[in-house]
Parts: sequence; structure tokens; C-alpha cells
Amino acid sequence: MKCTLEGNNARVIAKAIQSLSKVGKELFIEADLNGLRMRTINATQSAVGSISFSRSMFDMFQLPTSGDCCCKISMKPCLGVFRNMKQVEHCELSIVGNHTKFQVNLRCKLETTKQALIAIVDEQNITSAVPTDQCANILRGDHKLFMEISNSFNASEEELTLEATPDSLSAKNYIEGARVNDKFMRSQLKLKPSEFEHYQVPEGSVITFCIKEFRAFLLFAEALNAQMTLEFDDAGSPFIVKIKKHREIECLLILSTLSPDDVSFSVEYCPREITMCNQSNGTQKRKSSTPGPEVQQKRRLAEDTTLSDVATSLFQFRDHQPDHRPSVAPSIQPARLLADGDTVDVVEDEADEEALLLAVSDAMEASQAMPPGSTEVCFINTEDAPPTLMPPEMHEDIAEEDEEESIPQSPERERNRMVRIPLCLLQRCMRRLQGHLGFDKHLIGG
Amino acid sequence: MKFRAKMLDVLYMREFQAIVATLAKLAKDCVMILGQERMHFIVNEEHCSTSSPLVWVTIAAKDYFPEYKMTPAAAHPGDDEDFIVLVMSATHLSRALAVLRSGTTSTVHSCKLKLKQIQFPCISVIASVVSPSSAEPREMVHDVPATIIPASEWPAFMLPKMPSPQIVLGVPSLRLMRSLVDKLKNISPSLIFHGSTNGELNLVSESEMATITSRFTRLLLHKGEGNSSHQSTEVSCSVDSRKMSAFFNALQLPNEEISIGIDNENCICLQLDIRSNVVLHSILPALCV
Amino acid sequence: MLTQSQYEDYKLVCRLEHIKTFYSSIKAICFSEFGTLQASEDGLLITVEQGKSIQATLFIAPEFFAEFKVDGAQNFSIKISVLAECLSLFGLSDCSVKMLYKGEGAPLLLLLEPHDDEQVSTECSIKTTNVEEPMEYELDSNSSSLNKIFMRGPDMSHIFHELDKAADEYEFTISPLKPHFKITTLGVMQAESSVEVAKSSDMIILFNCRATTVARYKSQQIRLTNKALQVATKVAIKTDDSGLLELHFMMQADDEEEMYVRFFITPLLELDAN
Repeated sequence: MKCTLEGNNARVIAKAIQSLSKVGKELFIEADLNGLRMRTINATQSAVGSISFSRSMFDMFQLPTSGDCCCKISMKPCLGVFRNMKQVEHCELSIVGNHTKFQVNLRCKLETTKQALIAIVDEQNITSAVPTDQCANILRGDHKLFMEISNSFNASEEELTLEATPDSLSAKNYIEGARVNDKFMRSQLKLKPSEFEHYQVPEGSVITFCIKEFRAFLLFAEALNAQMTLEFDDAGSPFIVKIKKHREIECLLILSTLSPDDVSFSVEYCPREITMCNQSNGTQKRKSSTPGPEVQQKRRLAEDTTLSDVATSLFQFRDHQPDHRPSVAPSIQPARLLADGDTVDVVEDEADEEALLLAVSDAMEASQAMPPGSTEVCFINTEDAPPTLMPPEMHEDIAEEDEEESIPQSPERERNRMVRIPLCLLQRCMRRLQGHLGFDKHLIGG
Repeated sequence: MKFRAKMLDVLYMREFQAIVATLAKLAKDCVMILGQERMHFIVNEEHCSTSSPLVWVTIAAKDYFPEYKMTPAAAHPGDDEDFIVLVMSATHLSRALAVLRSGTTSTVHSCKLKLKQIQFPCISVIASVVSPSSAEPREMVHDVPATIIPASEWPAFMLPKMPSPQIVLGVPSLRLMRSLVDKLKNISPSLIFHGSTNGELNLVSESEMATITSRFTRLLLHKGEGNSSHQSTEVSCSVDSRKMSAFFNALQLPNEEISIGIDNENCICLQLDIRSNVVLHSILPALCV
Repeated sequence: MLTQSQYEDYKLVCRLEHIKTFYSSIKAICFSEFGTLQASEDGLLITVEQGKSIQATLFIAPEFFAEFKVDGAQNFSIKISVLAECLSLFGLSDCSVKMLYKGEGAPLLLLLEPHDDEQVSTECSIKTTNVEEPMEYELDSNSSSLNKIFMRGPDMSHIFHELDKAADEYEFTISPLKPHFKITTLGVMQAESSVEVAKSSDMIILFNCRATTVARYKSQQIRLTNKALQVATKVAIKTDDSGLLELHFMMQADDEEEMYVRFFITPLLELDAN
């Protein structure tokens, strides 16, 4: 394969690589009669990005005699070559050395030439079987609009939730009605459908997805000065981002979304006014927290919690209190469990493997009916003070002590036992997306 | 207990943002004390590993908030001594107000603060924003989690007492002072301030390799008198240079002048007059080395 | 501030009206702890070395100083980072600086006065130690392989800046024939890259090359020249068949007079070729 482009088009390719590099660590390059396509997949396999360039973008486009060709290269060296493109006047991409190297030649201003040879890791390609034109909800708008939405949220944010209804769109960094950590700042931006070029939301839907990959593609939309289209159905089904520039460039980003099964909701978590309270209670309550009832309450709370809640808090705890869990966890052999699991074949690096391994063992723990005593692991982080928010039936038992307690005095005590770690949940739902993904071993004739 | 307040003036919104951003640069958490007339912020991470000085700001609430309604939980309505005392993350609060920052392309019509209960108490910051690409205002809401401090614990959250320094000098070149202190902290962990009633301030930094003396002359003497024989009085105090530098580096306000008070061998107090009734203070205790 | 008699005590007195070029030049050579100052009628030399493989020297001619007085030859060493720190005390404000030295054992005094604020001044007293003689490096000027290239600083800076930082070594090829001037990065996993500049390029001011020279250098040492490159208006590259690399950077800020920073970098020993 050999193709050449002039400087401005080479800069577009460079921008595409920069965006893809924020998604995955490997770049899949594929050339066929239609043009050049670059794809990547993120480490947790919850996002697949693809950018296609039509043949008309190239001055010369030469396929091998055998037809199509594809290769997989490491993103990092590739990014290095395409980092500084200002001076580039002409670019040549080719596969050389009997399909072992991807060669980039950049002819720059001031009679300077740069050359890079990047080792081809594999002649592998990636495909996805997610249908990309059947979503019920479609939002299209200028990249500036989506940039403003994205910029309204902190750079360290991991997820974004979109609540779309026929007459409004809310972007949130949390899920309405789900627990959040008491150190977490909830943010939301409300927009009107009139801000969008096209707003098609027949019934309404709430989806949660990882914002990092979305931002990576948003950068490319900005570089192209193009519109962006978001397409989605319900929570749990894939979220699709499309960018098109004339007929030459087409981008597709497929993201998995959080399934509603993985979130527990409660009316307790919806906003209300702070109630008046008698200020003298605060200290009294603190003093009343003798060890006796505390232990009892913990146990009672554990019994009342449903199994799915336990599962959630186990996931959550794994990240926040890694040291506590193993000491009290039932002795399950994770390695053996992993062999039983069906997700191993898609795991690529060790970190993932470990995450999944833990996830599997956690899921097993959760699904086993544990004696009440051992479920205390869920509340190991609870502070000395007794929880103040109890399930209704609890109130009867402890009413005498707690009836005067008012939420504003020390409401944060109770919450420590439930910490939302969204990524773990996403890891679970990403496995659903994996069902739609496949790797093609694509051998090219010599 | 209720609190709601609303800002409408762009300049005041920016100034309020700059004050909060300054606090956020100094410490993770801040104390917000809401009174009927005034609003106070305190940051104090003296017991943490970070090298931040004690800083507090008092603002005339009605200057910033044309609508300001505070109902304390106490049983004596109308009592001047009633407050709502909250502790929250300064970083979150600053981030919630970031949209008010000068230099952004969006215009903010109004910004409300409201105390509400979600899973826990929050200060909700609700801004109505118009971006250059939209005709209609958008509503941006941030819920900053807060802890409500019961009255019984208020004594631990009192505003610091102002010491009474012998000399207070007005330094007009804050920018130079900031750069100087920032560099001097790399020379030595302590920094000695020598002030005199003839309007001179010397900063001395000593290390094994170098001695650096910076001299500010012809400063305005805000407080302090020479003795009867027209001799000038001199005082000095040695403070933690990293704390001093942290203070100057945190400042996000456009002021060019700062008052430096020296309480001989006891402390340095810094005062930044943002406007009348709006003052930022800091106290740095003497280093006993 | 100083009386005439006090003033005469000093063996070295020099004053710069503007600090900017001096400060960026000191920063450019500030890669080791200590530096040696050598003052004579020919001007002021400040030398910094790291190991026995890299040396940087800042040279300031007497004309560059607003005032320059030296009694014989004065040589001493100081902690170069402290000097850099002192020069930066007033941040971006332009200052004048006066340096005073009484002779062996005495500290180096620095007086800084910002131009835009007459109420402020700083006096620094920096401890000096006995001089450590710098190494002497020299290219063979009679060699038939003495190659010289003069380039525009900012262009050269771009090229160096874009070299793969993950590389262990850079190989420099200078040749009368194509590729004329080439830098190849070596030792990067899964990739190798190179950059070439033709001698007819507008960035090359002078190309004087008789025989092909090829030598390798530690990338980390080449990168020590970055700060000098970033502010240099012109750069000279010289080498011979020994591979010793001599780089000259002309430092010039605004319309101040120029100072020169010279680097010597020794090549890596050639391993047995296959």
C-alpha cells in the first residue's frame, strides 16, 4: 500500500490520530477501494472509534495487487510522528519491508524531510456488529454546542448522563435518584431542544456513558469544524457519535452505556429543602453512639439490604477499601473462578484481567447467600456514629434514640458505606458491548 | 434553617468568584459563616501537611447579593448572633462558580446560592448562562456538598482575633513582592521581615550559600509611630517562607496594594482591602528557629 | 551606596543595564550544581560541566557591560542555581544588575534594581569557592574533516524539539552530499525516525563541509542544549572526524547586545560495527 496527501489533508489525518490516541493504545489501519480507515478500541473494550477518509483526499492511492490491506501499529510512535504538522507540505504513507513496517514520509518547509518507520504489530483488524442507524433518539448540533456541554463539566469527570425528553435535555455528571458520595459535586446543565440543529426524541431516555472518548471525538469535530450527531436508544444499549465532513471524512464512535440494572435508585436522593431542627441535638446524638446498639444496627441494616445492593456496595468497596475486603471475604479461589468465566478471551492486558478477575469473584460472593455476620464487610467503613437514615422498619427499633435526630446535624455519617464507583459498573456493562465486537484475523497474500 | 441568595451584577459576581478561587488555592476545605449582614469565609489548614496560612475573608453580603435571605435554625429569631455555619470543599465551590470568571465568553445573567438537602446538605449554585452560540439562557447547577456545623461546635469555627501589630506598612508593588517571595522560598525555609516607622521594609533570606536582602523604601506607614526623639522604631518577625509564598500565589484578586503588619517576634498579618467592607486577612505566626 | 574607597576594594565590578539575556543564558547552562567564573580584560566566562562529556560556557564581551572593571584575572566558583535564582527574584520585571567581587574568599555581591520601581532593590551575597579548572576541548582546525554549519536558531530549535524524546541516542550525519545534515533517533521500541535538512534550505546560513562525519551522542546530553536553543537567534554546529560536537548559540533578547553560549559534547564510542 502506498498513498500520498498534500499538507492540509495530512494535518487532518494527524488530528484524527490525535483523537484516536485518546481512546486506544493501538491503531488499526485499513485500506480498501473506498479509501483509508483508522480504528481503535479502548482498554476496557467499551468504546470503539473509527475514522474513514475517502480516496478523494489522497493525491495517489495505491492498493497492493492482492486488494485490501490492513495492519495494527502501536499508537505511541505514530502519535510522535504526527505531532508537529505545521511545516508539512506533503505526506506519504506506505507499508514496506514485506509488511513489517508502516512508513511515514513528511516533506516539510525549508527543504526538511522527516521519515519514520513504525513496526507493524499484527495484520489484524477489528470489526463491530453494532447496528449504527436504527436509534430512536437523534441529536445533531454544531461542535461548539457539544464543546460547551463538555466544558461545563470538570476534566476529571468520568461519566456523563444525558436525560433527553421531548422538550428538554439535561446533561449531568450523576444519575438522578442514585446515591452519590458525599464528597461528590453534582453538576447539571439544562438545554432546550431549540439549541440543536435536529432534535428527535420521541419518548425520552436516560443514558450514561464515559466522557473521555466522547471528548476525544469532540476534539476532532472541532478540528473539522463539523457538526456532530448523537444517536441512542435506552440505557444499556450502545451510544453512537457520528461526525461527517462533506463526503470525505466519516467518523463513528460506539460507546457502551450503563445499564439501569447496575444502579440502585431511591427517592431519598432527590432534592428537598432543609428542615428546621433543634440545634441542641447534635451533640446529644454523638454522645449516644455507644458501641452496643451500633453493632446491632449494622447487622440489621445488612439483613435488610437486598442482594443486588450488597453486590453494588461490594463493587464500590473494592476500590475504596482494598485492604479491608480480603480479610473478611469468604475464601473463594478467584483463579479457579476466572477459568470458569466466559470473559477471559477478550481480556488483553494484565490490569484488565485483574479487574475482571475481581469482578468475577465479587459477583460470586454477592450471589452466595452469606451469613449475616459476614455481610458486615459492606459496612466496614461506617464511622462510629450510628447511621441516621434507616430503612422504615429500622425506625421502630431505634426510634427512641434517634427520633430527635435531624438530617442536617450529621447526615454524612451514614453515607460512607455507599460510595459510587461508576467505572466498575461500566466494566460490567461493557461486557455486553463485547458481544457485538469481534477481531478479524485478516491475512494478506504475499 | 434556610438560605438563599442571588447575584445579578457581573462585576460583583466576578469578584465573588475571585475571592472563592483565592481560598480554593489555599486549602481543600473552607468554612462559610452566614450571618444576617455579613458572609465570612475561613480557610485554615495549619494542621495539615500543606503549607497554607490561615486566611479569612469578610464580605458585606448585600453588596454582592441584592437578594439575601438567611433563616438560622436557632430558637431566637432576629438575634444578631445567629448564623448558619457550613464546611465545604473550597475547590468544589470555586469550580461551581467558575462560570462567573472574567475572560469566559459566556455571559451570566444571574447566579443563585441555595441551601438544600439532597442525600446530604448542599449549597446549590445555580447560574443562568448565555453562551455566544445560543440565544436562550441555559441553567447550570452545581450542588456543593456541605456539612452543617451545630451551634455547640461553633466556638471551634470562630473568626480569628486580629493581633495588634506595632507597625503596618502599605506595599504598593504586590506583583514584585509575589515574585520575590516565591523565589526566596527556594533559598531558605524562613523569611525575616524587618519593618521600620520610616517606611522601610527589608526581607532577609539566608542560606548556607547566599544571603539575600530585599529592600522596599518610602512605604506608606498605616500604623506605628517613632518614639519621642524622632527616632524610628524597628520591629521584625521571621515566618515560614513557603506559607508566605502560598499566600501570595493564591491571590486571584486584581489588587496591587497590600498592608503588611508586623507584630514584633510574634506574627505577620496581611490585609488585602478588596473594597470597603470586604477584606481578606491572613496571619502568619513567627517561626521559632 | 558605595563610597569611592569601598568601590576600589573590589577586584571585579561589572554592570548590565538589562538582565534578560544574561538570565536566559545562565538558565541555559544551569545543568550542574557549580559553575566557574573567569573574569579578565577579555570579558567574563562562566563554565558549567557535567562529567567529562559535556561542557557549556557563557561568554560575555566587555563591550556588553555598561560598566566593566577587572583587576588582573579573577577566577572563582559559585553555585550556579543560586545565581540563576537571584537573577530571577523580580520575575519578569526588567532590572539592572551589578556584580561585585573583592577577591579570593569574598562573596560575589549582586545588586538588582527593577527599572519600573525605584522603591525596591535587592542585594544578594553568594558564597564563592575555589575555582575548579574547566576541561579544555578543541576541534582540530587543520583537519580536512572540520565541518561547520550555521543555522537560524528558531528553525534549529524546532528540529531538535521534534526529535523523539524516547530515544537513547541521536546520530548526526554531516555530509557534502545528500543528506547534507541528518539526525537519526536510535533505541526506540517499534519505531525509528530521522530528519534531514538540505544544504540549500533557507534555514542554513552557511554550509561548510568537506568530508562526511557521522557520530552518536546521548540524547539526554543533546537535550541539555534545549534552553539555549529556545532563545538562540543563530546556531553554529561544528565537528570533525573525532566526533566532538561544538555548538555555538548566539543569545540575544530584544535589542540587547549578543552573548554567546558554547557547548562541547563528546561522542559515544563507536561499538564494533557488524
